[in-house]
Amino acid sequence: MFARYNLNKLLPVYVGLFVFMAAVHFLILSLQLDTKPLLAIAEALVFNTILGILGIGLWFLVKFSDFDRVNLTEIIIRHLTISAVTLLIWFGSGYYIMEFISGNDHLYMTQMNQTIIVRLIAGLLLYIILVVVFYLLINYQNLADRKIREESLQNLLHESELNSLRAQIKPHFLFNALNSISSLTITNPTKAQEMVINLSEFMRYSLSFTNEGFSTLSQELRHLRLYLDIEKVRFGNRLVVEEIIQDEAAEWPLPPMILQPLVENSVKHGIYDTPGISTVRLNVLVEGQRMIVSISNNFDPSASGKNGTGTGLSNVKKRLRMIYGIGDLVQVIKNNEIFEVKLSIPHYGKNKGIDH
Amino acid sequence: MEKIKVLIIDDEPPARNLVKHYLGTFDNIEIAGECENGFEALKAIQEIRPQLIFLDIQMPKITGFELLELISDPPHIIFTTAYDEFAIKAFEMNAVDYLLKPFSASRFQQAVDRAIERISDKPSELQQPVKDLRNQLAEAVVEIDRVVARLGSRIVVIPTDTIYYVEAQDDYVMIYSSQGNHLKEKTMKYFEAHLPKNGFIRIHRSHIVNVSQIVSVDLYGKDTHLVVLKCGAKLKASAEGYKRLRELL
Repeated sequence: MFARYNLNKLLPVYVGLFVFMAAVHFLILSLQLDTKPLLAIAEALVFNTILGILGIGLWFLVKFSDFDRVNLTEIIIRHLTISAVTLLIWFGSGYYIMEFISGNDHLYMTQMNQTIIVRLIAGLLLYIILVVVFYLLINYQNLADRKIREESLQNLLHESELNSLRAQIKPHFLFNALNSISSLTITNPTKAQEMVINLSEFMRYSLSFTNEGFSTLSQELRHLRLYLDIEKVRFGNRLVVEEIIQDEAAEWPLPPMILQPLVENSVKHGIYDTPGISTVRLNVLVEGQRMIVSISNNFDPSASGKNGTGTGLSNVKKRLRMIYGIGDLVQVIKNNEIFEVKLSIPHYGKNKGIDH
Repeated sequence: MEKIKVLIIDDEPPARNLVKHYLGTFDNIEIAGECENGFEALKAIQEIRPQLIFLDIQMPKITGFELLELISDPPHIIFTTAYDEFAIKAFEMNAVDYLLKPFSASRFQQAVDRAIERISDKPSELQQPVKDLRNQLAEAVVEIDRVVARLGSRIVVIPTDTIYYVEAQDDYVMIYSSQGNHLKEKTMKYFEAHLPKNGFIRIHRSHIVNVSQIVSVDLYGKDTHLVVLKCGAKLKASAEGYKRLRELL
C-alpha cells in the first residue's frame, strides 16, 4: 500500500512547480500592475528562484527536525520564527536585486514599495503550503519505511520460527525413541512407561514453544534433561552427561529452546564421530552481567565431519542476534578433541531492556 | 536343516534387544553375534561368516552402507533404520528388506521369511520386480563426500577432497590420497559417476583426477597432454579427457 518512492525523482516536479509560479507571478505583474515585460520577467525569475532555493533548505529543516518529540506550540513558535526569517531573506534579497537590475527605475520601485504587504502575505501563504506539503511527504515516507521494516522483521521472525520448529522435533529422534520404547515394553515395561512419559513431556514443551517471551535456565534444563534421558536409554552407557550448574544462574532469563539444538548437536557428533564413550558437558555460571553457558563434547578429529550442516548453530546465532541486538554472543571453540559452544547471555529485565 | 547364522548390527542396545526378541520365535535361526559399530561388524562378518545381517544405517564413524562396501562377498541384508530416505540405496545394495523403525512383529516376520526364501534359493515372485526396480534406481546418482577403504581389518575413511587421483587397476581401483594408497573393489565408472562433478575429471580411460590438485597441463605429443599434480604424479590425458578438463577449468 505504501510504496517508497525515490525523492530525487520529485526534484523535477519541484522545479516545475516554481516555473509555474514564476509564470503566474509574471502574469499578475503584467496584467494588474502594468509592469514592463522585461522587468516583470526578471522579477518573476528572481523572486521565485530565491524562494525555490530557500524551500530546499526548508525541506531539510522539516526532515531533520524531530517533530515527533516536541509539542505543537513549540512547533508553531519554531515555524513563526523560521517563516519570519525566511520571508525577510526572500523579500529583502529580492528587493535589492531588483533595485539593482532595474537601475533603480523610479516607477517600478514605487510600485514595489506600495505592494510590500501583499507580497509578504503571498510569501507567507507559499511558505505555509510548502511546509504542509513537506510534512505530508515526510510522514508518508516514514510510514512506508516503517511498513517495510516491519515486514522484513516479520519475515525474519517467521523464518526463524519455522527453522527452530523444524530443528525441534527431528523425526529420526522420534522414531528411534519409539523403537526403544517398543523394545522396552518387552524387556523392561516399567522403564518403557517411564520413557513414554519423558517423551510426552519433551514433546509437550517443544510443541508449546513460541519464539516470543523468555524462559528461565531451570525450565530449559528440565527440558534438556528429558531429552538427554531419552538419548541415554537409546545409547546406553556410550553416552555420559556431566553437568555443573551454578545456583545463581537458575532463574536467569533466556530465550526458550535456545540450548536444545546445541545439546542435540553435541550428542549427535559425540555419538556418531566416536565408536567409544562420548561425554556431553554442560557448564553454566554467572560472570558479571552475563550468564555463560558452555556445551561441549569430545570428538574424533580424524572423522570427516560428515554429520550435521551447522544449521542448528547458525539458527541459534541468528536468533540471539535478533533478540539481543548484539552480534558476538556465540563462541565456537574447537581444540584437539573437544568441540565447545559457548553462549554469553545478557540479563533481560522485566522492561524488556538489557540490564546494565 | 542347519540353522541360519545371523548377525545384528546396531549402535542402540534397545534396538538390538528388540531384534533378538523377535528372532526368538524362529527355531531355524541362530543369533551368532551382536555388534555396535562398523568396525566390530567388519571383524565379526569375516570371522563368523553369517548368512543374514540386520543392519542399521546411521552408526558411529562409518555407516551401514560404507561397511557393505568393505565386504567383498556380503551376506543377505535386512536394513533396520528410522530413516526412510535410504530405501532406494538399500535396494541398490540388493537388500532383502528395509524395515522402518519402529516395526511390528508381523512386518519383521515377513522380512525374515523373505530372507529365508532367498537363502534357500527358492525363487520368489518378488524377485523380478525388485530387480527391475534396482536397475532403474542404479541410474539415480548420489555424489559421495568420502570413501571408506580397508587395509586388512583396519578401516580408513578418506574424505573426497583429500583424494589426489584414482587409477584403474584390473578389477580394482587404486585411490591415491593424503592418507596413502588404497585399493578398492569398485569400477572407474562408479567413481566417475559418484565423485563430486565439479571437483573430479576423468582425463583418461585409467585416471580420474582431483581438479584442485592440478599444477599444470602441458602438451605431450599429438593428441595427448600431460597433467602434473601437486603430489608429483604425471598423468596422460586423452584428447577427450583434455576437452573435459578445458571445459571445467
